Amino acid sequence: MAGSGPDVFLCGVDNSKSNDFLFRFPQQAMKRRMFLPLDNYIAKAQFIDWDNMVPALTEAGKNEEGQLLLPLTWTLPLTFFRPGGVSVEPNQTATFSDMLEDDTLRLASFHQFYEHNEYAHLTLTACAPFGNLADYDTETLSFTQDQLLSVYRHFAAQYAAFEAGEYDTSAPCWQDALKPYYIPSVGPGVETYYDQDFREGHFRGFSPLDDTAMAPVYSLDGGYYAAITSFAAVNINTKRPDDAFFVLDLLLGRDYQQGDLFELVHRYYGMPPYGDMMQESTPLAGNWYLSQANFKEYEKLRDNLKGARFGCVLDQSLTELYYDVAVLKEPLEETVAEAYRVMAMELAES
Amino acid sequence: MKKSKSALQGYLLISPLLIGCLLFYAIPFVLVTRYSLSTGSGSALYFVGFINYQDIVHNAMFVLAFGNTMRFLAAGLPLIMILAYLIALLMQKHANKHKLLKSVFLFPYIMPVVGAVVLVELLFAESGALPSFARSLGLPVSDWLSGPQAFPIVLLLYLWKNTGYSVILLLAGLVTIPEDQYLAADLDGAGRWQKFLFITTPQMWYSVFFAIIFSLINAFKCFREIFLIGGTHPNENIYMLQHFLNNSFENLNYAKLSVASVLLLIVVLLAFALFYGFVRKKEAFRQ
Repeated sequence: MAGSGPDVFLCGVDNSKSNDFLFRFPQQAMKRRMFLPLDNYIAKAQFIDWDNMVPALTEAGKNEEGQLLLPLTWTLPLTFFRPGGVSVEPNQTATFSDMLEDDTLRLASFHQFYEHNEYAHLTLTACAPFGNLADYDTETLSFTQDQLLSVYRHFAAQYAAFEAGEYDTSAPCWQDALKPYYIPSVGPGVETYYDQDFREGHFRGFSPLDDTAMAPVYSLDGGYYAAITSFAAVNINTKRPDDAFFVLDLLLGRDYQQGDLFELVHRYYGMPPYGDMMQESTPLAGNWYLSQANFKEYEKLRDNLKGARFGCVLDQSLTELYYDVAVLKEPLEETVAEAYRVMAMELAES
Repeated sequence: MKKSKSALQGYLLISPLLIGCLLFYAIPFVLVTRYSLSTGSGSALYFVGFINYQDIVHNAMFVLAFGNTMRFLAAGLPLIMILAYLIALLMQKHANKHKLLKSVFLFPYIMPVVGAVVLVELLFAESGALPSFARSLGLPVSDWLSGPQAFPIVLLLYLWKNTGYSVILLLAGLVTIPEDQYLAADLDGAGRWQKFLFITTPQMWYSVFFAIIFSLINAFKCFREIFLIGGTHPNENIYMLQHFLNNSFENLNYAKLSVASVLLLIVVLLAFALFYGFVRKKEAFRQ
């Protein structure tokens, strides 16, 4: 379409070092009149079912100018237990410190290294304790250097325990980022990514048909946040805003979100932004849905989100810090101090 | 008629340069100024007055970068001029005898940036020659390139790399001073300091002025070495305005980028205007 630059932005977030962000801080980019306010377009949308979107996700992409960013997928790091195996229901007040004091939640407070444990879970766990990561009004980090040191000391200790073979594997639980096809699903005849592995018992006795309880990683300040892993927006300079929004309308429409086109997107980036999808009546890719019990668990998680944030370069920095400290065994205090310094500078420049 | 025809011919000859300056400097500068007074981009640019300027002077990173850059210029320019002038004066008498020596002074200037950085790392990095030597003497040593010592190291690099170029510029001015004036001064019993003050200095202002301009340009070019040493977010002591500008560009923050550029230009132009005004009053300009 005609116009200066792209008419539509479709951005995916990946915390790996090789990823180059177009918008290093999407929430800061929202303040700079780069995106077209979409409220009027959403009101006239043909396919978007706005009322059934998860409110925490849509709020994150909104400011005083209106709705600027539309969430396409979201996720958060989870640990799955047997039903009733989690002592604390998802809530907005439990903190990371509370997790460390609870026997079961403690298992969910760090990334357990075992075969097939998702890389995405690691990258998200590295960031989840820090909540929203930043206060964008004051351009300062939402956590102190001491808090960063304390959390990463915990991560480094857990990794050292893993290397020494000291992990307590008696509790049946496993970890993943919250993504369809990876989490326990449904009835007979449905293929999931890990079907063969489940059958071979690589997931600590779990099978795809099991119901589970789900424990997120709580932040230091309380509650847990969704990570928006892909989003869409319209360039404010577009000369054809109606056509540009039509693309978004189509992509966020229920048919597309539940269709084959989005199967790969959901597989790699996370959940659809519609809170009522993935039930038996609203399956993904035509045949994938959560069991009733698992959907209820998902609802609890969804309804108790404290907020949502867009992936940014701070996520990348925290993920790299995890590797430096836990895996590469760089000196903890110096490495954390250096990472904190750089993150503070990046945010102040944003 | 003849004069205007001659003027027209002159303008025609320099027109390619004028057009280039207009297209690649003047027009972009006007656009940058417009961006600095607006928010948004492209056709969605929205005039906000001096709000961006108010915001940036309270931005910690801009204040740090600006302060470091001014500190670097305040230390580097006088040092390079004093050093270059001393060397040029020493070489004045032998300038035509040792032509190879003049070339040797330019070697650091033409050295590739990466080569200079490798040399700095070999000398000053944590496992480099000098820290290793200091450690062998039992002295406590930290990573100099990541600490407050980075500033003097970068300053030293700037002096080493660019003094030779300033020497050549000043030497070119020194050799144009007629030898007869010094001989006449000798006959009148003038001392070395008096000859320097009353013969050399008045005729050198023009050369000094150009040497300062080029040293200023080279000081900004030093960002390349600092970037290779410290990355996009180096130690606070060597975080320069170019880092801020570069990172603002990566963040697509054109308003911040534009404001920082305009403020830098204002400061440099002010300094340039003050010094030019001072030099114009001097002997060299009285023709």
